[in-house]
Amino acid sequence: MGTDRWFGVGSARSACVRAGARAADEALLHDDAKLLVVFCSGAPDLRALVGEIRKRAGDVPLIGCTTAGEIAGTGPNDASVVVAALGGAGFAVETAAATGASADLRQAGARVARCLPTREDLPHKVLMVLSDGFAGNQQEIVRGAHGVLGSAVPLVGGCAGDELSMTETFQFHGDRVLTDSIVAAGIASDAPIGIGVCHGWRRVGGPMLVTASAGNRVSTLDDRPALDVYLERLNVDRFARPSRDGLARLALTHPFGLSRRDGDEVRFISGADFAERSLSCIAEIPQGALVWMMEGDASSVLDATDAACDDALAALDGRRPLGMFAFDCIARRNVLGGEGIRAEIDRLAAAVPRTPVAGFYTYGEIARTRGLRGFHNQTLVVLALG
Amino acid sequence: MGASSWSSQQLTEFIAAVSAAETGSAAARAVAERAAETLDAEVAAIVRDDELVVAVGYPEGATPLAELAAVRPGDDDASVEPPGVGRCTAVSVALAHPPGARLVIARRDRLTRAEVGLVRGMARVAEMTMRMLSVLEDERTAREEGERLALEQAALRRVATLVARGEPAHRVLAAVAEEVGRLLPADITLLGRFDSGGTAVNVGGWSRTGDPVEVGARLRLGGYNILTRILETGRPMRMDDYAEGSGDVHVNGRVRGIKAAVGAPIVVEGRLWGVMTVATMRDEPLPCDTEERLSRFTSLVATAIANAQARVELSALADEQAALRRVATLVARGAPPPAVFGAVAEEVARLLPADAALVNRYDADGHATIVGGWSRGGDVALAGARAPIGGQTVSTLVLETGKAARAERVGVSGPVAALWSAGGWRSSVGTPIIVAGHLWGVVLVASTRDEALPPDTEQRLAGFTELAATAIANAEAHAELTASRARIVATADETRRRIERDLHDGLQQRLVSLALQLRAAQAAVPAEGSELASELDRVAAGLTGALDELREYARGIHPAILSEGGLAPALRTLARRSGVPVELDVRSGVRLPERVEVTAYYVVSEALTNVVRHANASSVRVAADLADGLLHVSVSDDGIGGADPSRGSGLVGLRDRVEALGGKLVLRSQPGKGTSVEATLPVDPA
Repeated sequence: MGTDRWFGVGSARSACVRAGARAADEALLHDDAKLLVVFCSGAPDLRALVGEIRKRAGDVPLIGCTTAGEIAGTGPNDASVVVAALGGAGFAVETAAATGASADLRQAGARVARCLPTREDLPHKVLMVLSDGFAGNQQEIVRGAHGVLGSAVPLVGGCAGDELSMTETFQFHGDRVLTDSIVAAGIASDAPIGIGVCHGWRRVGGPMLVTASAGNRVSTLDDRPALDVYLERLNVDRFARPSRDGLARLALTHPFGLSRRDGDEVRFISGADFAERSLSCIAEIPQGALVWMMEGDASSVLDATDAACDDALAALDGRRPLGMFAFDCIARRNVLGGEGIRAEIDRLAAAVPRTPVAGFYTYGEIARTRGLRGFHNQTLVVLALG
Repeated sequence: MGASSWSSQQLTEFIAAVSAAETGSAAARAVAERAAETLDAEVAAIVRDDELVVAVGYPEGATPLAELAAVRPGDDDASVEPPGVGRCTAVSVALAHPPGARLVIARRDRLTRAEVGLVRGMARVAEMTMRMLSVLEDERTAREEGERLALEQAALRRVATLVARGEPAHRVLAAVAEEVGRLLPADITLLGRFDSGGTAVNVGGWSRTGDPVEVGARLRLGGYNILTRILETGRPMRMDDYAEGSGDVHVNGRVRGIKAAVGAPIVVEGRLWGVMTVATMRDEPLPCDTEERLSRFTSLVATAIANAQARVELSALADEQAALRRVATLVARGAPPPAVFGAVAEEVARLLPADAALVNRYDADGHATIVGGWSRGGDVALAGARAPIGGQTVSTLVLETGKAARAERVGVSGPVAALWSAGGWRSSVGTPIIVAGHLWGVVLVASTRDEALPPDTEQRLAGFTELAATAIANAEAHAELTASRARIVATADETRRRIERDLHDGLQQRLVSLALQLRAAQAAVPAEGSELASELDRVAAGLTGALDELREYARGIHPAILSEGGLAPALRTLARRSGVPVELDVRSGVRLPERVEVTAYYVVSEALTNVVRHANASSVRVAADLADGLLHVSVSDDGIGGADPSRGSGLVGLRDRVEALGGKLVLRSQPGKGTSVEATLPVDPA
């Protein structure tokens, strides 16, 4: 059976059209590719890049997105292109895109979920979702897709990045370059699929009560302006008025945590309204919830990498994986630093030697394996294809 | 964090999420999703025995209701098995709302006791929230429905008021079109009436933009479109995607920019009369209750149309009755037949309507004479014209069959054809005039229009024909009566004149002769025989008195001066003899027929006698004037008035005499305002 499936990854330290061609050629181990997945950043011409990659593969279904850094077995990179290809009779893949996603993320999630192949002979399935993190509450995508697929089909993926300029991200579907969209690949395989999720953050200090919030916006904590409380906790003089960039840097390493059944769920703080003195998060903070300040360090974050890998591989029943996808939060990269992320990729690669790895630094991660929660922040999601 | 504080924290977040829902269905979905998220449950659902309210965890469209409904509260061993997930233990908590519903949570690993407690808390939140939203929704729905109904009722009432007020149908239709368009709301409303010949004509409409809707525009039916389908099925018709249609009606709609439309039939007194269509230029279809709401208005439209039709029929009937009454009044007044014929011709022509009408009399010499006629332009001078009967004409057909007949231009020949072509007539209908069982003539109507005269024309003519026949019969009877009275009067006059002549020539002459002989005898008596002479004088005086009395008597029977000098000297004589001063104004000096002069004389004589006897007048005026073939004679006094014509036979006798000559006698005698007697006498009575 194993010979009926293959997985290849190619990368190039540039995002020009020629680099894309090289990466694609490297990934395309055989001529029966079923899916191409492209991650890139700093590309001078996205349309030309995606078009060239698609041309090399001969109209194979393609999804992908822009990133805040690319991950390949050779290490992390910026302004590069990573192409993953999978193929063989043991895989069936269909892809879909939903544009104008912010108008109704739930419906967009449901729409792309319907692309999952209905192949009884390929019982192991997963929906890989790449979305625009600026489109709104990403948990709605998970709810929409879960409503179509039910609990049996896991979801993985991440929110596209834009090299931390936080303005606009792009998603690829076929030879189209989209924004405010969700693209997805429904993958059916004759071999098991494993998913691991871990963040490595821990609580620091006592909880704060969310006294006023709506959706992703937190107005007050303990009945005081949320931004003021947050800055106080970090010992930042609130009168010093940190810049937007300064706050963004702080937020990357100081998320909120919400108490969940299996531990804490991390909420990335994506911005603040300095007039209202409110905070906005990348996902919902319910009014009445208790939130904790969270912190991490290189050690705890790398421990999480190991844990995510272990969990993903455990689901393969001891089989050697064909390859792995990693959706790693940009915030973890900031905690780890340049050396740290190199070490992280090495650990990923070392988990299963000679196994190709492709991934990117994300603005939010998607992983639903049980229950209905599926959107994560500051987390590493690992997908192992058996 | 301990289990209980964790539970209360989760419940708090659950409440925050669920209470934000705006509708019952959104709340149910939030309950299921948030419960699944909080408890990492594979399945979360709200079910009733026979209804799935909401469920998450199953593939789209594959939720097993029976399996979920079988999970009963308190059953510790309950489980469900979602496909691809495996066996999950399930807990169920009853909900007070929706009635009979349960919250079911299933997970691969059994829920802890704390988690089951949390599920119960979630169930309480769920039922309260859903109940509250249900009440609010009911209230909102009731309020919206009430507002909608109120608007609809107001619109219906406005239209019904127009209908009840008997406004003309076109105004009702325009009002309905606008009310319906604004209410539903639509961009265009159209009212179409089905015509014979497979077409529909637009009889009313309204557009939101105010663009005119061409009333009177005609469309050919056929193809797939609302008008044609309703004609075929008699039922309301909906086109949510207007692009699907075909045919002229459809093309007309597309030209207007219609994207979706709904039509409802208008059934007037059991017959499919037409269609009311509402249409939108927006992409979304019209609401699903449009047909029902439209139908409430189409029944009002049908009432308005039925009323209008009834009104038209009633008004036609009233017109006909009025026309018949006008002619009947003429007949009853004894108007001369030519006046009646003229009236009959004009009334029938106006009523039907026709462009011309004739009353023809069949003459014994094989001709027909036009005795009455009317034409719309007044340009056909008809009365008096004669034409030989023959050829293919309605007159000929009626004469031959004695029944009503019709003719079209193509079939007309003979002498009348020229008249037809002069009038531009294209069709004609005639009905016979039967007088005393005999065919007397024919009433004809003619039309210049292409279409034939309506099929009920013969029937409507019949009423007038009968009136004409009555007028003729009356006139003939009247003429006979007048003639016989005149004969009686003439005979009486002749007798009186003979008596007067006999008296004059016989008895009077003998008395004169005796008087002359007496005078001669008187002369022969000697003067000394004075006693004899005186005796003779007394005899002579007595004889002269007797002669005068005889003359006076003879004059009463027939005034000789009338025969000798005519009316003017006779009236002067009467004036002179009158006991009341008379102002005489006689303007006619010519001799008139004796019967006229005699009658006028007796009128004045009798009137003057009455003045002297009863009027207590100080003066009296006698006038006689001849004008337009009529002699007008009047005697008016300044007396006490109040004369009663029935009291004495004098006036009655005079009236008989006047009427025997075809004249009229009028007495006016209001108390205190004097008395006048006026006689009008035809000098040459018919």
